[in-house]
Amino acid sequence: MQLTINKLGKEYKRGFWGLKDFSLEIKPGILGLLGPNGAGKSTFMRMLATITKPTDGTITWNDTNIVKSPDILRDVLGYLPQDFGVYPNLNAIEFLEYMAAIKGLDARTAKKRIDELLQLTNLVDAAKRPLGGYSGGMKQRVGIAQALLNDPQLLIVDEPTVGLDPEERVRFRNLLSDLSGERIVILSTHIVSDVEATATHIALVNKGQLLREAAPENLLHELENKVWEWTVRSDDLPALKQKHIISGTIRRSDGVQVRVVSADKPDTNAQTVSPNLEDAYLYFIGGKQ
Amino acid sequence: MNSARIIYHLARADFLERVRRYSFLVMLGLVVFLGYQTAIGNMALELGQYRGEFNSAWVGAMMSLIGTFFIGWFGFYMVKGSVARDRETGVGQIMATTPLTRPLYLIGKWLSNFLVLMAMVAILALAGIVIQLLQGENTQIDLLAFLAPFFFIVMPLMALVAAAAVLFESISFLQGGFGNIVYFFAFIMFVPLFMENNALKNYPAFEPMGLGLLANEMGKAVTAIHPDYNGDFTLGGGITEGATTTFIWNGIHWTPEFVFARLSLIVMALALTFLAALFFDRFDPSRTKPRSVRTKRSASDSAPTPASTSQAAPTPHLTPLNKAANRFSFFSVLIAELKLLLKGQRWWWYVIMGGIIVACLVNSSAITREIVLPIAWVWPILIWSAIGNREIHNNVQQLTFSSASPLWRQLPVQWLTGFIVTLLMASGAAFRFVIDGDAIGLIALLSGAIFIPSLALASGVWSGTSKLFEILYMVIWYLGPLNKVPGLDFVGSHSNGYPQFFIPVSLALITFAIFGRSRQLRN
Repeated sequence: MQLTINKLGKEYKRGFWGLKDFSLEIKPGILGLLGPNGAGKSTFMRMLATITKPTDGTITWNDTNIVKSPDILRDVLGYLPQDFGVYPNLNAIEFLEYMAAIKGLDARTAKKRIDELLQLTNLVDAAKRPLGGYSGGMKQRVGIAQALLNDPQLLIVDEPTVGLDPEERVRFRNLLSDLSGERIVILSTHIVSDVEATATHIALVNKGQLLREAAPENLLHELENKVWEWTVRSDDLPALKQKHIISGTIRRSDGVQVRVVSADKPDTNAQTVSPNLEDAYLYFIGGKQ
Repeated sequence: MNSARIIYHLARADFLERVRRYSFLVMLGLVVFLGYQTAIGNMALELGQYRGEFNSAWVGAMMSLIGTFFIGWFGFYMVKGSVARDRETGVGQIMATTPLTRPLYLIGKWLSNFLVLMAMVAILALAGIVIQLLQGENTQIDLLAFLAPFFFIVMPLMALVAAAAVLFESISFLQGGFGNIVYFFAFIMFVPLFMENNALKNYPAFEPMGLGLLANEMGKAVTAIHPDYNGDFTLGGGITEGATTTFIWNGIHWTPEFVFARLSLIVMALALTFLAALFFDRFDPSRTKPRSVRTKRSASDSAPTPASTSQAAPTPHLTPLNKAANRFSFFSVLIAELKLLLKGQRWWWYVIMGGIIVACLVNSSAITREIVLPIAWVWPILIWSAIGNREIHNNVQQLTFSSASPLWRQLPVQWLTGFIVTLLMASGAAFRFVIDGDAIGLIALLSGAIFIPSLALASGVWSGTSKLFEILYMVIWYLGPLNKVPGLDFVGSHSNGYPQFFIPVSLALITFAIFGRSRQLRN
């Protein structure tokens, strides 16, 4: 099972490229996509999900070019878009039955699967209520359920934990980890802790280009001795923000403890500390390599 | 910020948002087409066998009438939807958190509607000048005489149409397709109602469409020259052969009374907008829940709270599916699509549906064809109008279009569900035709049953909304089955019709829909 992206590009109107020269090889596991707003993550995911046609490049699923033959992938695809709707007059069961029919699941399998998914997404009690009355988080859980209907080999989830309460978020993260063994999961999010908890690989994207793709531990390894902490006076903080990437601040009685990502020692009092993914994100996206 | 400034910015933003849409260009294109039809003589104003010389006053009045009739009728559909957009985009909820009052918000929307309508009127006016020059009967442009009917006849009506759109958007049951149909029939009914109303006959300037005023003033002018004038006043159909007797008409003498009467309609439009504020929910979803949602929820589960957050989280476990489970079933999709199509209708809808089917069966073949079947085929209009655009309307397209073969697995089934509903509505008629051995009736029924879902699918796929089908279908239905215009009589309600002609038309529409959907999928 392999997904190969080769020199992928998408040009929108007026010569604006949402994604350009994007190459990546994805194997089973969870790939976390990290990047700022407008970086091209959703464009990339929509192209993988066969919704948007690329302007340039190829996407190959097990040696089949899915730009030319999208149905090969669609049979084994689960997709949760960032922004999606539901049919308000249907209840969760009816909506999932509808999606199962469209995905080509036979009725008996669909019924069993829907029961499991409703339990999994904690929607059993609300399953017979029209979706029009669901809260945002509940709709999001219906979206998660429909993405998992066909036991997909490629699961693409764009901002999946938006609107979920902390308990549901943790449960979804666990679910993703549980699912990832024999399939490819691509997860896009702004919540670095979600990626930290689940991803086996991380791709950093900015301005439509792939900045870095590595295992989380490798990214963190690159940041060894580049994350510093020390305490400064409150008045010095604005000037420090101008000079360095600050990944955290904590107020203390003697001033402000700052956490700075920098290749060089930023202050004589600064001490190196263990890096985390948020530091890595700021370091690479901030372009301070 | 003072009120005027708030209204200005509300209207400006809304106006800019609309005129930058592709649909606005289409609208202007239709207005230009209307002007072109008039220029080539396919549409004209005649008073029996007389017509005015094509001077500025006559052309201005003629174009004004075309504007009041067509833009007044169909412009409503173009401008309605502004409040709905704020609702759908969530901008409305943001506005609701500001000190903005309901009347102020709706006045802003009214002004924006009005400006959009007047932009169309302006294009029509420009076309009028071109027509006068092309006709060449009198090439002297008298701007005052030309523009006066636009200002005093069209503008007040546009103000009223803009207000009607705001009112319809504020009343929950008139917000959707039902409101579109209500306006369609209300407009048709109001034209003769205004013309025949005795009070308005005495004060024609108060008649909103200005038909009475123009008929009166033009009638006086033509009677003065040709006392045998019989009072006929027609707009449309093109210049009739024989109606070659022309007369000079220099326009209405706009007395202060006339001007006051016309401008009072703008005040009435503002009053209508204020009235709308009484019904407007100010984007509070608790005031207007979707009907079917409200009716199906019990008191105990009325709040959209998480289902059972207090319960212990079950262990995430899913049984793996084997490959054999993945078998596409056309029948399963058909059942699912039918459920989707019919879900949300109230019980009385089905009762009336049953009543109409029985009425088709118990009446004679002739009555069924002429009266009952046309009624049967207008009842499910809001069901048909969802075909082809439901995915876009509900923002589900990313989910459904990323499934396997979305074009060939979903689109034919959607058409088929429409066909089934259409046939079901006509089932009583079909039995009646079989009993009476009415073969022509059966052919007409079949061609109609193919035509309706085809039109719905093509309109839905290409427009992404239900509105286009609702308007198109109502026009065809009104002119064809109801008024027996042979070329549009897809029901075969009249023996002069050519219902079989709708089979190739349907095939073309289906092809058009397939092309449209594959274009959507290619993105």
